[in-house]
Amino acid sequence: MKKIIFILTGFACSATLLAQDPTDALRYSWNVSSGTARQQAVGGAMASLGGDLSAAYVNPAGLGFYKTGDFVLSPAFNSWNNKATYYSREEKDNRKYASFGASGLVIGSGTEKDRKGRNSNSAFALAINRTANFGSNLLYRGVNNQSSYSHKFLEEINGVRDANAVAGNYPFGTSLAFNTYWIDTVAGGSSGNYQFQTRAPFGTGLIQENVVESRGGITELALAFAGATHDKWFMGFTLGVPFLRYDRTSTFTEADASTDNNNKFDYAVFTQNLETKGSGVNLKMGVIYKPVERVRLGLAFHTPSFYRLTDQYSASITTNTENYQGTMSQASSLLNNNADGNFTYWMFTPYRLMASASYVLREIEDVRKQRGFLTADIEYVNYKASSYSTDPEGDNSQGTKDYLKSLNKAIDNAYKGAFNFRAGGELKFTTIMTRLGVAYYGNPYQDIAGENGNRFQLSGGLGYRNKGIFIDLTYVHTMGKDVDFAYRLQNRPFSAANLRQTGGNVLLTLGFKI
Amino acid sequence: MKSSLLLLALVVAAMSSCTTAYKTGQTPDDVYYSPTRPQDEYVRIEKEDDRRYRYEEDFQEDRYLRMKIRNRNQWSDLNDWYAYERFGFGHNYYYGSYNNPYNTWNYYYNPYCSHTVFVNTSFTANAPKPRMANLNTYNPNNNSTVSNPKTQFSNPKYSLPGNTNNGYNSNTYTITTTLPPTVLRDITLHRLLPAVHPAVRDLLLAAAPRYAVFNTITETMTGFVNNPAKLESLFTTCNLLNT
Repeated sequence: MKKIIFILTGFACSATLLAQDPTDALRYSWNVSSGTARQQAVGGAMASLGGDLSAAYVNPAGLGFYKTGDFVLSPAFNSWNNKATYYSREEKDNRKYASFGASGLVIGSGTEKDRKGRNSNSAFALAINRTANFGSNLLYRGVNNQSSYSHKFLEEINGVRDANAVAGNYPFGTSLAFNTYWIDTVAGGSSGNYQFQTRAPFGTGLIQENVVESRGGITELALAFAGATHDKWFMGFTLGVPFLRYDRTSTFTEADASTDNNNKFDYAVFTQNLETKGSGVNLKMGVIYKPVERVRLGLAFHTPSFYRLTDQYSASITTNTENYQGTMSQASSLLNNNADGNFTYWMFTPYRLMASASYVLREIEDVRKQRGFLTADIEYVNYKASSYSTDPEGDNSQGTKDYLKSLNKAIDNAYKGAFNFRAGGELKFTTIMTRLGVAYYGNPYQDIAGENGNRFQLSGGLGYRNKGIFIDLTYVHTMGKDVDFAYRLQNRPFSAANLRQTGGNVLLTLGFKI
Repeated sequence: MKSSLLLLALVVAAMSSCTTAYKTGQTPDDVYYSPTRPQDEYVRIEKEDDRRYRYEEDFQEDRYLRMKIRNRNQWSDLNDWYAYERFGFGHNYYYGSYNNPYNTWNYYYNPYCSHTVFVNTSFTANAPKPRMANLNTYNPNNNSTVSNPKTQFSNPKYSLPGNTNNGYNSNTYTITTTLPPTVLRDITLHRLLPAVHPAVRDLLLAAAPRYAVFNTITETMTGFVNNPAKLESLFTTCNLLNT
């Protein structure tokens, strides 16, 4: 019986360090607007303007303006640069990749009389859009003499007085560190096997480096319907099916910065791999009202996206303890029945509320007399509303439920609600259009350990529309700041890498009137 | 990539042909004003489908007759259903509900369909768990952060490359990647206990809870778990039983 309890205890406390933490929730919700080139050129504002396919992803009521049809394709090219400062040292890295914006089909019906004799029309859209891009390369380095990554392992086994449990029950981090002697028993070897220490001489300085390569994104399929009455009230809703994929490989290295070749630590390398994928569903709904000619007012609500996600993860550690144990390496699969870790769960992203106003100069049929528009959106996102829960078909143990409950509480502590602003305008010269836009995405972080972040976008674009075809070309320049923590500690100092980010996004929309 | 471009070109060509109505005259801009779509200038004739059935029963009777003509014996199991059960009388075990004859079509047509229930027997050996972190570090009262702790070292074993505002020398930051020895430190008692020979188990329990340092041994434990004599020799080598 004791043996059984021992084994069960081992599984119950097999906590890992490839942590599912609040940063995962923010990654899937703190995203900038995406759509067609025309919408991106005006700052991503589309909650009251309408008449563009990207309305399906912002305020579907905007599709109600369609009495004709569009088919659009929006290829894009992105560049993302990270400049990271970690313990006063700056490093840069970047990534370039192809992507796409809102593409698909919208078909509007002609004006008809409804049962009450009012003019009404409706529209339907089927679209696909890259609503989030995770593509990024991040590098930071610095010298730290206050803590080691291995302190995170030691905090994880705080209170564990069994070296055998430490050696096997934490296969995605702590056990690997212990088995390769990054952390060790206090007296080394088999003595003092109930107390643990780090072999990393952080007091004399550790050169720490973190290399993080991220890939993937969220691609959302949208099925939207909209209707309009008297060309005055517009209503619509979108059923969204987002497909999420996130791949990350991170390699954290810390090396002895001292001159001592006999201090039992040369370096340690901790490599972690994570693949998250799954799909979800959400609803977007909205209304646009035209109180007078030229003016449009919009309201939109996005329900939380419900996702069913699966994490697959693995880790390995290589440690060189010089003349103590030499170089040792171990992978998580060795401790986990030759398998990666995996976990399926549910996740809910925050709801969103939007209000918007547009001023459209000359809403008349003759395109030679159409002059331009101004539009602005304000959006509220409650980032602390993200939450996790167990999947009924997956692990439903009490320990897992308790962890996810704590995680939801940590999300409450870590984030807050924030306002986002998007505005832009267009000048139209019959077949040629010029556009400018600006957007600001507010800080979603509570300041616990120096967290701070925001994003600011400037955009500009050109458009051409003639002979049943339209072409829009846009450049969006993004400037932002964010933080990245290689590790967080409860009882020792740790520091964020402060990120200054810049991004360039070139988007082309090719459209056909149908 | 070439096939994608070809597909894109085909879509563009196809869609270009769809815009015929707007190739002359103005191209509407739906943001400003969306006119009603131009109508075709010919008379549209509604197709009449004279093969439609007015009532569901007509369709079912017709289908039953065609099935019987094709193979008189094959469909005999369905006689009762088409005779009366489809109207709600009686109960045929072939059907989940009396008004849904499609339920059994797989039984006849689908070569993969049988009455045997297959259960997915694959299993995951490792227990699925979330990736866990110390969430206390997100507690607002946790104030463990530091900033700007500059340190300098005169002749470090490693140093950061390039610029550095910190005065480190410019030696290349390299880490050797020598092939590490096999680590046996993870072989823990509780993982071995369920499978081992009783005598070995006793020996392991006798050694517990002392922690075994196996990393000086070049062989893996696989060869020892069912060989008490060899394991005892191993433990003696490690001084495990004497500590």
